[in-house]
Amino acid sequence: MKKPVIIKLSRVKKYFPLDGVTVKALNDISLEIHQQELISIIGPSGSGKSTLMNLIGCLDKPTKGRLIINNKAAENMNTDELARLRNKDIGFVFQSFNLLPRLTALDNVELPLIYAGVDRKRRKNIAREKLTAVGLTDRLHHFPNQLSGGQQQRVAIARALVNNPKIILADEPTGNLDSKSGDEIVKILQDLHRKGKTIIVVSHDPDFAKISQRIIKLKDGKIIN
Amino acid sequence: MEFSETVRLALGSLKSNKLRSFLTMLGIIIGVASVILLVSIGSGLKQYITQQFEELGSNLIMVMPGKIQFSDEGGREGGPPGVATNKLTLRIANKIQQESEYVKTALPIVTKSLVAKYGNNSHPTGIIASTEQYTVVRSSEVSEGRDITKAEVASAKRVTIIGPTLKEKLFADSNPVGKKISLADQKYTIIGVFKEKGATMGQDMDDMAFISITAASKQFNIEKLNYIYVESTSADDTVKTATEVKKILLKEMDEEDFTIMDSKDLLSSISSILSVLTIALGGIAGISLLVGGIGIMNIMLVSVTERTKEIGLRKAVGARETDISSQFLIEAVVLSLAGGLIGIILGFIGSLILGHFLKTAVTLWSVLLAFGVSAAVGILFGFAPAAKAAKLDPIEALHYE
Ligand SMILES: Nc1ncnc2c1ncn2[C@@H]1O[C@H](COP(=O)(O)OP(=O)(O)OP(=O)(O)O)[C@@H](O)[C@H]1O
Ligand SMILES: [Mg+2]
Repeated sequence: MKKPVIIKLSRVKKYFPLDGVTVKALNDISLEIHQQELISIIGPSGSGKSTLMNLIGCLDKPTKGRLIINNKAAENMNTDELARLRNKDIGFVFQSFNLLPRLTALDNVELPLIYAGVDRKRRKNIAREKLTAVGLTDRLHHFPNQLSGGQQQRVAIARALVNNPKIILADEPTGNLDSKSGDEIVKILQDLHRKGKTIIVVSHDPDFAKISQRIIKLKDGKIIN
Repeated sequence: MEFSETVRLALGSLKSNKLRSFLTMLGIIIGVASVILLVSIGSGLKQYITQQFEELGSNLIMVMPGKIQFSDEGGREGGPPGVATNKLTLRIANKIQQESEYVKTALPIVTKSLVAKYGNNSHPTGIIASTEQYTVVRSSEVSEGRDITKAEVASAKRVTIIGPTLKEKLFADSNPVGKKISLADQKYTIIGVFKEKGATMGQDMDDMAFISITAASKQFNIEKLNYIYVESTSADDTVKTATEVKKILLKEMDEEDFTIMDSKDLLSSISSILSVLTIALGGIAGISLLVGGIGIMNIMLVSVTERTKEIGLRKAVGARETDISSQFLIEAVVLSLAGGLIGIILGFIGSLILGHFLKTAVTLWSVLLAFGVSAAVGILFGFAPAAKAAKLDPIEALHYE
């Protein structure tokens, strides 16, 4: 039996004006993603994968079309509502980790909790717990430049998890990592999927393809499968 | 996000860049310190002069020889109150004393510079000659010996009361009462020593010898008075007194060859000039505060650009626009308030040090103003960078290198 739909895009278009011409980064995308699905998105460079992830992650708004995230119509939201959605419902993992260099691993993981209004003591506890879950108990007070790439990406995953979002988005999470560290990340995401998260990964890594339930192919801003 | 959390965040990022934070504050520090310091000099000067005038007495009127005109432009016309046009005599002083009901005392004053000698010690000093009422009107107390009597004034007796500075120069620690000193070769017996008065308007009031006005005219052939102090019966009647004195003087002289100055008038015009001066000094220093504020804005704008990626990430994990803008605004306010506080402390210390050389007075209003202005500067100049940060597009910010 299929789980309920958690992400729904209907006829979504995203255009970028660039030097007088419009780049049609996404051209008429309709897509339904169910709860607890693990999906891979693949496609050539420039096909619109990141643009799609940014829309689902509410970092950007569609030019046209409807976008429903966790039963909320995201296309009509104001910036504050979008910020709240990013904070509560979505965890984002980036290719380049995007940790704040002046904060320790623990402080980096705490960040979404600060904006969720969680008090200091609980923040520390939750952050510690999530770092432990990704195997970094002994790296709590390290700064990003004192961590390996794989460790940094694990901190980023812990950060994506702190607010217990239903959806995890990962845009080429293993793109900057060696294969061994990459494997660890794949395992962690697979594990999260087993625990009930809905996960969307942009990656050409065959390991992700193996564990995915569905693979979406993009080309020139359209879904081709 | 809670306010305390925002403050913690702002403090954290300021701490992580201590040198820059300090340099950013420097403009405000200098601005605030100079406002406090310059205003303290201005108010110190005003207090000092007001105090000096109050010592003169608020019901005092001074009659000076010669005509000094205060024209509209504030310049002085006519000759200086010179000896040539001096028509003030002891007789006129007595007339003023007798003919007006508003006059309590008309004190004739003669001054002269000369050399005082005792044994082998000599010291250039000045004499002040007047009547036995001098000590009362000028509130000069005699601390050793006694005051001069009416009889001694009437008989032009060769007695003198000396100031403590002159006493020290000629007698060091020994008791001078009863000793004879020579004032420009005229022998005078010391009957008393004045209590210490300190300096008034930069002049040592204790370096003098007092003799009777009659002795001065007899032994030094002085006929003309340097000025007449008129004490009116009450401080409220100084204007009426001045009018009366003028009438009496005009009867005695064929033209207005004198100047009447009321200490209240003089004080109020001087103090208003000093207020303007104080405000002007404060205003000039205030400009440096403004420059300091622009410095903060400048650095904050650079900081926003530098931290574009950080802002993008914060937005991506759920920071609202107000969270971002308040973080930067509070950073600016913390910078300017901390700068203001340090500036106030430095200005205070500066005015204490300067207080050894001239009178300074740190006023509460200047401290409050400096603090308020630096807070306002922080908000005002922190606003543009904060708004810029808040409006950044999260994706563009994340991709900023
Ligand atoms: N802000 C923008 N302004 C203009 N054009 C843009 C912008 N962002 C994306 N594009 C264009 O949209 C298209 C899709 O870009 P996108 O980043 O989604 O590709 P991608 O599939 O993620 O590629 P890659 O595999 O290289 O990461 C590209 O042609 C890109 O140039
Ligand atoms: Mg991409």
